[in-house]
Amino acid sequence: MTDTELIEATQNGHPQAFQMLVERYESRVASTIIGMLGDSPEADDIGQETFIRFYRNLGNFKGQAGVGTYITRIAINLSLNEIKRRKRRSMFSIFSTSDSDEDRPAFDIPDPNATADYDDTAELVHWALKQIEPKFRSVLVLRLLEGYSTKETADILDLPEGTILSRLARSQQKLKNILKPYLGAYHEPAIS
Amino acid sequence: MNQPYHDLLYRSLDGTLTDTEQAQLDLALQESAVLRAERDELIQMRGLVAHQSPPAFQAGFSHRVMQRMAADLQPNETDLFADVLSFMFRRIALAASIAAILLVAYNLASSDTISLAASFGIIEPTLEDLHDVSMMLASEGAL
Repeated sequence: MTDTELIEATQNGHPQAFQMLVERYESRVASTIIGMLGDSPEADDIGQETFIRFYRNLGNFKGQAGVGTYITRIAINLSLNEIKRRKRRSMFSIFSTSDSDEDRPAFDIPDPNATADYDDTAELVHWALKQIEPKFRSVLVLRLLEGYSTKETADILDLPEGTILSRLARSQQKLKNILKPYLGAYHEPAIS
Repeated sequence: MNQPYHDLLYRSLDGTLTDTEQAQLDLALQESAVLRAERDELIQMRGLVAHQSPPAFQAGFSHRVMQRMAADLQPNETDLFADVLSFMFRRIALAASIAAILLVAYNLASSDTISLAASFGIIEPTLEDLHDVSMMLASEGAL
């Protein structure tokens, strides 16, 4: 069934159709949200909230953008809101230290000298992404992690393509500098 | 590193270069070892990011969404009460705001001066109000 057919079926009172949509776009939403927030307990909640918002807005969905683009836009916006909420929470916390959730690595930072065969790149990449300012991070997640084109990234973030290109250049430079100690340990997978 | 070539390098990976720009970049890459190193690191970094295993939510995600949706979309009594309260509060707040504005306007209109105290209906005492002339004369006579 196509996305449009599933949306129509959902609107006609078939929740199973919506569950099929959730299953279809679950991995894309996970990639966006975990890319933005790291693999945190909130990520699952934000993922659920993304689909609930989508469901509530099915009536407004006109299909100009694809379902994937539309859901990704919701996921990015909710992730950015969550990052703001975390910052507020850490600012108002009496016992907060200088480390906010954003700054704190979700895992032990690997020693670049001991990572010749380091292959769990996901944690390393997510840690590195968290070091980057959210507005730049969102561009990296959409373009590099999810493989959206610069035009699609611009549509999702509702920004001009030129802004996306300049943010992409700056954020890639930052990410490269963060990951530089680990780049030597990484070997591109052989093409079979 | 020469900034224009640096920009061209980044744009070549995400945007489109004109034939002239591409030729300029190719020439710069041939001549500059620093630019070549930058390009290699950039490509390696992008490979590292792109080739990681895609993250996923824990198993049963779609069921959790459907359960939460069922719970969220089911109007319960608490939600209804909160909705009514919110609706009533908005109406009362609007009426109270209008009444406050009218009261301030009346106070200002019936006062000789325009001041914060006058807007609250507070009468500011004058010097004559504070000093009773007859009492002062009487006290002087007593002296």
